[in-house]
Amino acid sequence: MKKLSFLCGAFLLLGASANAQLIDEKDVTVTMDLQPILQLDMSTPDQIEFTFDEISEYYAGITKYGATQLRVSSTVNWDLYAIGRSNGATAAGMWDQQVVYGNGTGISQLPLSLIELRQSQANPVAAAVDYFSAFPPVGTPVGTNSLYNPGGGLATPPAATENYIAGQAGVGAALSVPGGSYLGQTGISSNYFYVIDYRIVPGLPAIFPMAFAADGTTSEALAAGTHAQPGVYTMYVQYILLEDQ
Amino acid sequence: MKTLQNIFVIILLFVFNSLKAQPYCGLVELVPNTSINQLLTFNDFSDYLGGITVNSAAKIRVRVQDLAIPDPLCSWNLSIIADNGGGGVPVTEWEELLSYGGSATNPLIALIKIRVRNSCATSINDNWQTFPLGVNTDKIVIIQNIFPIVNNAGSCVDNVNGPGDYLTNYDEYNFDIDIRVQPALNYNPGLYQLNLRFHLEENQ
Repeated sequence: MKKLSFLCGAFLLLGASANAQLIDEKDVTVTMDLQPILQLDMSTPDQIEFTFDEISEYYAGITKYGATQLRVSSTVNWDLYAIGRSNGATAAGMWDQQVVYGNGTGISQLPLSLIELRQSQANPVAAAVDYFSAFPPVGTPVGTNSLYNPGGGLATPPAATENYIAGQAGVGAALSVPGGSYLGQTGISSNYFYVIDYRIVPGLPAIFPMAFAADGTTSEALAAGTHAQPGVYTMYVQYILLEDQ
Repeated sequence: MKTLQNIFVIILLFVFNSLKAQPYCGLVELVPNTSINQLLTFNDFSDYLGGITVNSAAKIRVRVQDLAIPDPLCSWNLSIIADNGGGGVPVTEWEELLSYGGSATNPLIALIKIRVRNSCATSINDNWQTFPLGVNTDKIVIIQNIFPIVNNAGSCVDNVNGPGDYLTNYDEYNFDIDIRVQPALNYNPGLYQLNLRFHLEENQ
């Protein structure tokens, strides 16, 4: 009987193997290398000059509309912010004085935050603060549009409560703008295209009442009773596009 | 007792013989059946937005032979199976080999498009196709299993599935595999892999 069982088992195995369906396979492995790309295209004059030679310009300020256009293309989530920079020749975190007019009285250290920005398109991150507000009236100085400047000539990114053109401090889809490009956008506005206006209001005397610290509330205007030293000053605005981090 | 044993042996031999008759074909083979690696590098916006297409990324050649005594039911089917490696890889995504960072999502299996061509357009999917469910083990059919219908070699119609090979009927038994990936700008940068398994089997 035992032999019979073995025989049955052997036949069943043979039967099963004989039942095998003929199959062949071939593999094609596709490897995809998605390299990150961040690209900021900027259209702007080499120099944006503000020449104050009329009393009305001191009072009302000078505005340069649409002076800079920023176009973003990115394959990763991103943030964009502006920061006031100088060579620090006069003092760290202050405009560089190139020429002095007259007898040299007045204050030569002008804060980088005295220049105001306005962006054409609101920050896509609704909770973030940005430069989208209209320039405030010169009679009621507010720091909503003062250029971000961490002070001391540093390049520290803005905190979550400070101005970003797009995105916000912190990591996450809710705190950044998703990858994309202005190239694929249609319509009159886009989260990947910004037009920047600039304004400088010296005031009279020239104490630059619109200068505010990065928190937007602490005034950096020159002390009352003083005035800026007449002359030629330079600084630059650095636009930084970076992966969300 | 001896008679009983003999009856069992006869029954088993009968069963075995009937099972042995089950295969309808003598040989079912892909030539060559070695693996191919295809690297797609996206380092330019035009690549991301327009995609990268590789025509004839692979050539699949089929050889199916009859049994010594030909069976009129010998036929075959061919399909592509998505394989992301399984394990902990999410079923809808490519396998991540290396991450360059990012806070978006990893690329999806549904991204890849495949076109299977030959001169007779025998594949039912001879235009660009994606995996319909977009998940691991999902399948794109090239030649359908239409058992017991047999479209013989040389008929140059859809689903040619009779015995034959690429040497004598190249236009029906050779398949050029085109691959297109158009990631756009929504996925985490990194190195990702997806295996396409071409599966040829005898129809039953």
